[in-house]
This record gives sequence, C-alpha cells and structure tokens, in this order.
Amino acid sequence: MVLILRYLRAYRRSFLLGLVCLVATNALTLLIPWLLKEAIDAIETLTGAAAARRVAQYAVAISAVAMVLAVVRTGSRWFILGTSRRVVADLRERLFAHMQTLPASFYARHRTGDLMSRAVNDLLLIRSLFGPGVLNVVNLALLYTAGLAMIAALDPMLTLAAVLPYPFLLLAVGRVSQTIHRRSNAAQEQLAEISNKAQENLTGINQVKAYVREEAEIEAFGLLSAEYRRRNLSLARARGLIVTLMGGLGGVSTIIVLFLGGWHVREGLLTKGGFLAFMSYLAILTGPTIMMGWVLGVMQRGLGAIRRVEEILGAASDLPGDRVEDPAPDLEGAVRFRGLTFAFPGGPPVLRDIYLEVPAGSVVGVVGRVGSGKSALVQLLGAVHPVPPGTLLLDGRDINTLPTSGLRAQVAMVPQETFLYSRSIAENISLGRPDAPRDRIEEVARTAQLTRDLDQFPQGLDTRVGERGMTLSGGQRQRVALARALMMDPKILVLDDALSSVDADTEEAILGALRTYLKDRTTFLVSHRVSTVLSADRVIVLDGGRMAESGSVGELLAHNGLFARMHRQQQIERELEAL
Amino acid sequence: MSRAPSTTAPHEDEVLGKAYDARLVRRLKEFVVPEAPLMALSMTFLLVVMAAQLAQPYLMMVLIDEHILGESIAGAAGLLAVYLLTFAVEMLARYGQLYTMERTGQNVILTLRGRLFAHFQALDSAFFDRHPVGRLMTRVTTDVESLADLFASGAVSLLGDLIKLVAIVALMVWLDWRLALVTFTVMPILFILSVTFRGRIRQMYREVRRRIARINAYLQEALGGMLVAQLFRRESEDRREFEAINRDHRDVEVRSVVFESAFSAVVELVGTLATAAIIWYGGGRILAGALTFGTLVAFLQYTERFFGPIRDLSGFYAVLQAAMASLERIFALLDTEPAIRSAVPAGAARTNASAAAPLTGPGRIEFDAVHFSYVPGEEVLRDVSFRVEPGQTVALVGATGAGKTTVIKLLIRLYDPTSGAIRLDGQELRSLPLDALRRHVGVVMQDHFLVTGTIAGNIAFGDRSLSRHRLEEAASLVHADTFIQAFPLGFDQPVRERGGNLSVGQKQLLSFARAIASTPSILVLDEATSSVDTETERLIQDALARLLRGRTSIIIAHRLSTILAADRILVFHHGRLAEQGRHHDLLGRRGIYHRLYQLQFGIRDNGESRALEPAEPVAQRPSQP
Repeated sequence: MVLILRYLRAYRRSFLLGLVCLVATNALTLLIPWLLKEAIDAIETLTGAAAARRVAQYAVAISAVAMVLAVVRTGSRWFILGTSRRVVADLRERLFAHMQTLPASFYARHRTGDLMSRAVNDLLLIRSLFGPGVLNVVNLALLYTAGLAMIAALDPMLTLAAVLPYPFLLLAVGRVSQTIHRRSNAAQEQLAEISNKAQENLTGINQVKAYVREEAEIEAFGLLSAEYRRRNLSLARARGLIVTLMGGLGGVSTIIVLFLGGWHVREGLLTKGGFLAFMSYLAILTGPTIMMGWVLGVMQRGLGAIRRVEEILGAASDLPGDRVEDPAPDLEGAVRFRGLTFAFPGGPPVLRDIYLEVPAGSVVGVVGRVGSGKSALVQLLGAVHPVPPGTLLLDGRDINTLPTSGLRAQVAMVPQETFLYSRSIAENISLGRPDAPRDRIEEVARTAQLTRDLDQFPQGLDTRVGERGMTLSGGQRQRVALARALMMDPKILVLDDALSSVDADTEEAILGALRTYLKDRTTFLVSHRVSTVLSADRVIVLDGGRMAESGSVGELLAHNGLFARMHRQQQIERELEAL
Repeated sequence: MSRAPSTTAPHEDEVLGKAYDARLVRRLKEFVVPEAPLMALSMTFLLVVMAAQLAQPYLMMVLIDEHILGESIAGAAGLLAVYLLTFAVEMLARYGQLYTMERTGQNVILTLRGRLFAHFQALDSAFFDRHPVGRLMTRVTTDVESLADLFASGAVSLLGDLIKLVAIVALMVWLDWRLALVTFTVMPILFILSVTFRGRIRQMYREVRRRIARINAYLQEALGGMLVAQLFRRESEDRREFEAINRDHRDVEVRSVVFESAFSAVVELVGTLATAAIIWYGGGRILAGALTFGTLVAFLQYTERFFGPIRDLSGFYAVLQAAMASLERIFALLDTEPAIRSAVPAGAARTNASAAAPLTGPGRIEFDAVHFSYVPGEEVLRDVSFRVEPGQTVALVGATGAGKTTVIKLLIRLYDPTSGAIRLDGQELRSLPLDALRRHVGVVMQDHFLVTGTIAGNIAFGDRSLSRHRLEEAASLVHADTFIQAFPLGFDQPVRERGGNLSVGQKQLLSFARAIASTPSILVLDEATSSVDTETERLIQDALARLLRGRTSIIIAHRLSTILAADRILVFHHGRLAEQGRHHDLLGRRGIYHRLYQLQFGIRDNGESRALEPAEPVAQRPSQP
C-alpha cells in the first residue's frame, strides 16, 4: 500500500483528477435511474399534456446527464489508466538505469531471461495493478456505498432483502478464488514442465536421433501436455463455478425484488418508478461484483510483481570504486599486485598470492593453461570484480579508492569473446566515444587491420552487424573489439586472448601496427599462444592461480619450465598446421 | 558522426500479424474440425443461455402487467418459479458453454503442440544448427498459449453475440414496433462511431505493439551486453537512448488510452440515449394507454442486454491479433521440410517404429570419396575413403576440428554427405530405413545426455522392449552396477536434470550401459577427454574393452590404451584422411600422427595413458566465473 502511494506520488495531480472524475462518474451513473423513477412517477401522478411535457423534460435530462457522464467517464479512465502507463514507463526507466549500475557478480547470478521477465512481464502486471486494478477497486467502493444508500432511500426493507444473498456470495467467491489461484498455479507449473521438457529435448536432439528415441520423447511430451490440459480444465471448472455462483445469486436477488418489490408496489409502499429504479440500481451493483474476483487477482499478482522489481532496485554494486566520487586522477599506468588472492563469490580462490610490479609503459605477457586464472587477473584491472583492499595498486593507489567510472575511462579491455551490438561497425567501434570524428574511427580500424576486410561488407564501416545474415567471423569480431578499445585512448590496455581467432599473419600485422600506439601505455597481453607474447618486456606464467614463472622470454626459455614446454608444444602445432 | 538512435530491428518474434488472416484460419481448420461435436455442443449451450436471457425481461413484463399492477396475484408464484427456472437454466448452460469451449481450445492446442513437438523430432540436425533453441521453445509454449487465449476469450461466443443482437431486435419489434423503431434511431450513431473508432483503435494498437517490441529488443541486447557497456562507460548514452524509445512508447500508449476510454464511454452513452428515447416515447404511449408499464420495463432491459456485447468487442481484437501472429509462426515451422528422410515412407516409419525390420548385416562400413560441409564453401571432410571390416576396431585421431566427430554424425545420418557415398554392408545409407540404421549403430557421445527419470529409464532410454533384467545385466557388464546399487533406490534412483547428481565417470559408465543394452552390432564412441580418478579410469577401460568385443567399432580416441588396442588408426588432418595404420608404423613415419602423439602424450610424461587437456583452450566467457 505504501509502495503503491509512493509510485503514484509523481502523478498525484492527474491521479487525483482521475479520482474526482471517478466520483462524478459514479454519481451521474446513479443519478440516471433516479431520473427514470421521476419520469415514471410523473406519468402516474400527472395527466395529459403536463405529464407528457414532464416526461419529455426528464428524457432530455437523462440525455444531458448521459453526455456529461460520457465525458467524465472518459476522463476518469484516461487519467487513471494514463497514470498507470506513465508510472510504468518511469519504473521501466528507473529499472534500466539501476541495472546499469549493477556489477558483474549480479549478472553472474541472474540470467538475462529472468531479468527480461522482470522488465517485461512484471511491468505488465504492475500496469494492470495501477490501471484496471486501482480503477475497479475505487469504483467498487464508491458504487457500493452510494448505491446502497440510494436503494435504501427508495425502500429500506426491500434493500435489506435484496442484499441478503450478498454475504454468502462474497464468502463463496472468496473460497472459489482461492481454489482458482491454486489451480492456476498448478497449470503454470505444468507449463514450466512442458517448457523444460522441450528444452531438454531440443538441446539433446542429436542424441535423441542417435538413440531413435523420437517416439518415446513424443510420448513423454504428450503425457506432460495431457496433464497440462487436465489442469487447465480443472481450472476452467472452478472459473465456471464462480460465474455460475455470481449469476445464480444475482438471480435470487432479482427474484426477491420482483416478489417483495411487487408486493410493495401493490401495497403502495413503492411507486412504479421506484420499483424500476430499484431494479436498475441492482443491475448496476451486480456488474462490479462479478469483476471482484478478477480484480483481487490483478492486485495480488501486481503486488507480487512490485516485490520482485523492488528486489532488483534494492540490489547494489559490490565494487568499492562505485562509491567513490569522480573524477579519477590521471593515471601513468604503473600496476602493482601486492599479495593478491582473489575468489569469485562463494567459490575457491582462482588467484593466489600474486606479487607483480609493472612499470608504466611496459608490455606484460600473461600465459597459462585454460583455467589458470589469466582472465581473472586482467579483469581486475577494469574493476570488474571487487578485490581485497591494498592488493591491487594503480600508480601506487589502491584500486578500491579510485572511482570505477573514471578508472574505466583510462583502462580498456578487449575480451576474447566480445559483445557486438546490432548497430553499424562504426558505432560499435565508437561505443565508448560516441562523439568520435569519422577519421579517428577509420584510423583505429586501420590499426586493428579491419580495413582489409571492409570491402567484404556492403556498406563498409556503416554495415550493420547481424543484419540479414551479415555475420562477422570470429576474427573480424575480435578486431572490431580491438578497435573499440583503441578508440578509448587508454593508459592501460588489456588484450585478454583477444586475437585468438585471428590468423597468425594478421596477428603479426596487428602487433606490428600497435607498436607505436603502445609506446606510452601499459599493456597486458594475455594469450594461449606463446608467439603473441614473444615481444613482451616481461612474461608471467600462471598455473592453478599461482604465478609459476616470471621473467623475460629469454630467461623463461632458458629456465626450461612450463613456458618452454608450451613453446615447444606450439612449435609442433605449427609444424602440424603446415603439413 | 551522425547517430540516429538506430536500435535493433525487430526479429521474427515481433512481427506484427494481421487481425484476421483467412489463410491461417483455413489451415487451423484441420485442428478444429475434429472438435466439431464439442463445438456444436458449446453452441447449443450458448443458444440456451441466450433463450433464457431473452425470456427473462418478457417474464418480468407479464409479471408486472398482470400480477403486480393487474387484478389478481394468483399465478404470480408460478410465474416467479418459471423466472427462477430460467435463471437456473441460464447458469447451468453458461457453465456448460464455458467448459465445452475451454475443452475445445485445450484439445486443439494439445493436438497442435503435439504436432509441433513431433515435427521437431523429424527435422534434421542442420535445422537445429540454424535455429536457436530458445526461439523454438517459444513456438511450443508462448505461441500455442496465445491460441488458447483466443478460445478462452470466446471466439465462438462472438458468433453467439451476433445472433443475440438480431434476436433482441426481433423481440422488440414484436413487442411494440413503434417503440422499437424509436429505440433504434440511435443505431446509426453507434454504427458510425464504431467504424471510425475501431479503425483508430486498431491502428493505435499496432503502433503500441511495434514500440513495445522495440523496447524489448533493446532491453534484450542491453542486458546481454551490460558489462561491455559498463567497461566502455556507455551507461549515460544507453540510458538516453532507452529513455527516448521508452517515452516514445509511453506517449503512443497514453494516446491510445484516450481512444479506448472514449470508445466504451461512448457506447455507454448511446445506450443511455436509447433509454431516454424509450422513456420519452414510451412514456407518451403509456399516457395514451397504448403501452403497458411492463413492456416499458422489458424494453429497458432488452436495451441493456443489447449494448453489453458491443462494449466487450474492443478487447477481443487484441487477443485475435496476437493469436494470428502466433499461428503464422507455428505454421511456418510446420511447413519446414526435414532435409533427411527415411528410405521407407516417413509416415509409416514414424507411426510404427518397430515396423521397420531390424538390420542384420555383419557391420561392414565403407566411406567412399565422402565430402561434407556444414556451411556451403567450408569443407569439413574432403575426399574421405576408408573401410571397416566386421568386428574390427578403428580409432580416429586428429586435432580439434579435423573432422572426426563429423564422420560419426554422417554414419548415423544426422547429416548426409555433400558428395560421395557411405555404405553399410554394401548398401547406401540413404536406402536404409532411418530408424533401423540408428538402432543398428550404438552411439556414445562425449556430452552424456541424461534425461530426467530413473537410472533404469536412462539405460533403456525409451526402448520399452528391454526387460529390467537386461538393463541390470548391461549395467553390470560395464561395471555400472556398483555405483547404482550404492544409491538408496538403486536402479530406480531418480536422475536430476542433465544428470546433476552423477559424477562424470558415473555418467560415462551409464552411457556405456545404455549403448550395450541395445545390443548394436556397430558401436560408435566419442571418448571423453575429461579426467576421472584412477579407480574409475580402470573401470572405464575394462568396460570399454567389453563393449568393443565382437563389434565393429569406430572410436574417437583420446586414451593411449584405446589407440593401442585398435586394429587400425585413422589420422584426420584438416578434413582429410591423412594417414592410417597401426601405432608403431605410424610413429615410425614421423608424420602427422607422430606430432599428434607428441602433443597429446609425448611431451609431459612418456607413456602415461591419461588424456591431457586439449591444446586449444575452450572458449572462455569474459568476466564471468
């Protein structure tokens, strides 16, 4: 409830206007049967031309009220439903902006599909809560109080008799609503089962074929579907029951009015007009009652959705740097790991006791087998994960004391598997520098050796990635990612196995072209290829999260350890390639 | 550079459907026709509901005129009883109508969903290479559901409403044609309004849908690339773009609310104007003694019942459009023909799998000048020819991407060669019934595919002809029985999703048991590279030896012991069969095999028969643990 009011705060004026319109709508709606009554009573009490004139006056009055009613009704819906749309649009913006601040650990815990479901399905549920949900709840409250007062004024005894079935009705509706809720959940769970089965089958389709399991799979799937059908039908039975209950009790109410009201008319306790008005009021009251079960469901689901969305809005970044104010000092690029031990949340350490001193402007090669911790080590430079205080220093400052955003402006990362937006290649390159001039984009594209491929693309740098089957090869994607990083003009450049899909010749060309670019930048070259790091000032070898070897290429080869072994192994691989 | 907020193009899931597409509805007929009796029943119920609903105002009229305002109250009780009866009938019939309609819808989607799933089973592997699983899942879930919504929302009752409108008009004319005429003077207004409004609402609705699709596409991409965006400090730029498309959507949506709100309000208005007309003209006629009060009441009630369905019409449109868009996608999928078909008529093979006679040949395999490419222009196998004699064991070796796995996939016809021929006991694979071929060849793949169910169920793997005894025998033959018996429920122990509660070694032994249980005469095995503890390793090696005994076998080998035990080694290199022979001969040639051997086993510790990590690192996702 508090949440609902908070969401509405920004739009309280139009929402209140909507409420005013809603009050007017209900007042006018209830006025019409009264006018009807007066008209009929005029027929009874007056005669001749006077009566006809009176009736005509009332008919005109009814028409006039109806017209005003149409306007205020439109207004009430427009203000309230419109507010619900605005509230949700704001919430969507807030959610997006908040998700932008959440760190890697958050995205490791939440799959994109789940987050999408929050941002799409839950927002729809919230929209229903603020739109038809709120509208109907208020409407119901207004109609019930005012409507009951009106019919009580007409004939108190008849009113008492007519509303007699209602407590039973509400009780029954409450009961059946619970059943509906339960069965609806059961059906949803079965749909999830169906979905899981389909996923299991489709991901393993080759094995299904290899084992000629198609028939068994179709049968198993059929069983799940049949169960889903059964559950839906049982849900339909409960829903049907509610409709029947509502209608039936409404019918009983009408019978009571016909019987008792008719008797009152005969006795002269109620006028004919009053009788007609009473019937009209009753019809006006039954409508929203039938909606009540549905409205309760909307409110319930909407509140659940709000809770889930609030959960995301309540999540916070675990990076200390996110709580430091910009601007960051201009970095020279000296990096120092001081006894760094690092683990992903809830996991074993992936890096242990790393001591490493990298002077500004030097090139460090990092090699090691899969899972040795190479990627984790360099990712820390981009403040992707939080590190223990005092274990990673940039220019002698603890990375935790530098503002993340300002830091990232000076550290550029090229991951092995990059993410390209379905935009033009140029836009992908200028991702971090949206205002970059065209010639600068072309320059970095040249350095990344992307220019030689451009004539393969219909619109050169302006070709959209992913459009109409226009796919880039792994090597091309990596070079776009490299150009994107070069564009940032960073002080520290990290190539995280970033040229793994690029062929050896192109790699050599890239490294050659980079030589001048790297002059006064600190560079980390992570690679599974020993050849990539041969030109590095210094090479470190990681093994099981520890620094196994460290030194110049010559020293490491002479040491005849892991690096030398990898070097030999890759020589054989090259020979093999050449065969 | 110019930067128009170029956002993602809507992909196929967001294509907007027409509200009503006759072609799609015709195709849906196939699924709806079997439900005709049920639909007829539903229709009957609907007619009963309508009859009861229309009788009520009439009964009320009689009650008012003859009993409440009339002379005697004798018979009033009877009339009230009849009135009550119409209510009871209406409610029961409505229940019946709702239920039969829901049942019809559920039957239709059950058939459709089953058909879709069966079609997936028939489609070839190349199809699944092209289409992401997530997209296909949407077809059997969301798309089928939106069709269910169509039925639940009352596709049939729409027709009923039409009949109801006509019946009401007829009744009113019959009761008092003059008053009826006056009442319906408002009809032209309603007609004009609904024509102008409906067009607008429909258009608005499309606009809103297009914009929400854009928002969702943007979100999907932004969430996927969030960490990249953060590293490149693109947050504020992205936020600006998102706000722009979000506000664009909001504005259109708010505008559409005006039309929606106004439409229902105006329909209501027209209804009330009709009421006013009835009061004005009817009142005059009562004064003139030409009309009874009861008739006036009946008219007012009929008018009320006339406008209800018209108000509900606008909501129905949205459901219809969504259903049409889903149908379009569903049928497009059903129209995709599988590229690989069984030699015998597909229908016969699918409906009665066991009908295809099992193959009985000794198991001679022959690859004859086979070429193959997944993507045109990128050959994965080039001119591969070899023969495996019955009972022989052949090991395939080669670097990652050399084409070994493809050989296996071609052998069980997951794909057909681009050119060349593959023969089994002298017969072209294409001329054999697909099911029989795959039953004849037992396959153990590297990623052990386990389904949710029991251990026994995973060994039988859908083959119900296997007795429990046979399953246990198979398990004990490959030493899987020890760990299975250790489970509290033994063979009935449930297997969690993708075998979450089993170790790598256990999964492997289970796959062996599965392969041996089906007693194939040919065995194809992709040896796992993942390392297991020495004890399990010993079990696996022994099980493997038993598995191979007496069978024609092709193994993608990673263990030195397997390679040494093979009758022949085929060395693949860049899609070609580069060398073949026995271990020592091949080593002596100092060619590709020699280097592969050095890479795999030679450098670290000579002779150790343990697979090392692959030389090529597996692609690693950035910034994710």
